[in-house]
Amino acid sequence: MRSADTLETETSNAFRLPWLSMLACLLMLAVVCVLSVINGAAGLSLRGLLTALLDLIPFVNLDPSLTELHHNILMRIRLPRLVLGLLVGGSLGMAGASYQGVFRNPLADPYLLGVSAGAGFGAVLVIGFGLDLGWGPFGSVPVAAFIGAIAAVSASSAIARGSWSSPATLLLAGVAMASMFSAAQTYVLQKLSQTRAREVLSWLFGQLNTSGWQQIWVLIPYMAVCGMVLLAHCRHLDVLRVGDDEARALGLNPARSRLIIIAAASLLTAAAVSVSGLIAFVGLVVPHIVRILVNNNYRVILPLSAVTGAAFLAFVDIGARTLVAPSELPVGVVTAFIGAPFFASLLWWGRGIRP
Amino acid sequence: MNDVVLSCRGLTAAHNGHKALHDVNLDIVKGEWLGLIGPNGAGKSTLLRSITGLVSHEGIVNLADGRCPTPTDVALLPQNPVLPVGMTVAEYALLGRTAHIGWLSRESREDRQIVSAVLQRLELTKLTGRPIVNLSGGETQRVLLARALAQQASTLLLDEPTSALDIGHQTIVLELLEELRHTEKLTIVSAMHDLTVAAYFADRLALIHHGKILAHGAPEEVIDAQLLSEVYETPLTVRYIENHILVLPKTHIIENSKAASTRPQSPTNPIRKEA
Repeated sequence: MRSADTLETETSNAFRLPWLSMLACLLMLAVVCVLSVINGAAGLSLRGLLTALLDLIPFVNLDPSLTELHHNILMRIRLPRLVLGLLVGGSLGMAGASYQGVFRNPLADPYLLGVSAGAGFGAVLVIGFGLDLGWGPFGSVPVAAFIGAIAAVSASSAIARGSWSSPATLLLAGVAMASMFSAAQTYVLQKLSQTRAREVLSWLFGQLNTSGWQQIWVLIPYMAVCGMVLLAHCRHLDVLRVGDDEARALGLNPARSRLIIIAAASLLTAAAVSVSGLIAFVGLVVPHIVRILVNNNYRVILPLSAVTGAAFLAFVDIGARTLVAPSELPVGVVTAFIGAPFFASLLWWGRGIRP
Repeated sequence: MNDVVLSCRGLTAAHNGHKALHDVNLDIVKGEWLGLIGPNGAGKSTLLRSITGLVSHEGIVNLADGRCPTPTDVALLPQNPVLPVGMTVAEYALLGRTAHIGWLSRESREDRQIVSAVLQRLELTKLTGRPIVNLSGGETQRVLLARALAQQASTLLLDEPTSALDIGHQTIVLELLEELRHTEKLTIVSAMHDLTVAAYFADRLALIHHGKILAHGAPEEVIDAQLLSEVYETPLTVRYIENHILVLPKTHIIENSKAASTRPQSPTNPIRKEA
């Protein structure tokens, strides 16, 4: 007879989480954050950074070793930009993993249901016609992009009405909507003057520009709520992997899970797109990198996609800021330039892709 | 009826647009093994799926207490289960706990312990960390059973549980089911193709044809050569060997070899049985 102790150890062995890999990801994130803050047009010292950060903690007073100028750069430019990069990268990574799970399709990415085309169309309209839609700390372009993104996803869902239980219809509706919105976007773009068109294009390529902290304070709770909803549903993503029929026989309502997960992931993506433009690649590839490196369980994939996406975008943004200094590269271009070869090498040396 | 756990009354269901079940009345008795037999497309799978609630249907499917069955009452083992790439045996078995976990909650320690106890029970402990797609057919079938047992439903519905297995693994799986039926106090309903095997393992058989139950009762009552020959549209013959029912195709070769069975057979020249 086996004792209760053996059962206990067997239980913990069977459901062991890859703590080491998870810690490694967090460590990587921390390293990237530090690198991102100290690298840039004006180099900051690591010691100066640490004293400045420790000084922020209440009741800790340290002599700042940064000059006033460097301190301002750190607090008003570097840190907000880093945090924005982390938020956007994390959102895209997590939304990508959720979409891939919900659609059971390794090619799914957060822009699948027309978020990108809708956001692009919104941005083109506002930039092209100089509309003023500003709200709170957000300028007209983010607001228009957000509205466009939500409109496109809603349209896709409306077309595929009632087919939350057949993801293929929704997916195709998304393709239709995306094509329509990008056609509209291209049409308007063509009508614009060169300078305005250039402005639109640089937005479309994706960038992490932020004017201070105000946007971020609004984004953090919003993204946190969406992220929590997705994390609360990652068990559902694992159940959905056996297909809708079996999921239902096991006691899950696949349509309801899918509706909630798609809604949360789309809201997350729309917010990310509205402040950063269309940063390709992160949402598609980060979840696959996590799968190859760690394991295939959504309880691990979802949070680690957020961490890895955040670290990846923050890392790539260092390149976008410094490679052609003093000017900047669109971060969306650099993500693909750095990410694609890395992903390709993982595919080449690794075990291939798994949905 | 004594101890009916689940009853269907006037069950009518459609599959892919055409009616797959017509007015089916069926009682499932606690602790029995009910075998569903019938040709391909007769409605066996649709009946199992209607009981599980996967197919919209007319008529009544009720438990003894009048409720509709939920995943904590009936566990369905599909004929062709989806085996997600990269999912481990333990994670897959844990899916069986889905109905016991709240919408937003995660599996508790108890859920995990139930799963590992089931894995232990089915001697899968060594395989817990293995991806399910790497398992053999017999192992996969045991992992499916583990998922169903983790569901802790008192009735197991099995759709062709052994159709992909060789006779050795088929016997192991069915004997395991028979054993579990007694130790875990389960009721088993299984659709089965092999009539001989169905008659051997099931307490009761229900013959389904064109969505209707043509006959049900003890195997010796249902397994009737004339009835089966009509239903399967091919001549069949029924033999008894030591009180076990044997259903065989009635072809010339078998007929001619009647005498052959009394002849000593040379091992180097075995008689081919396939017609």
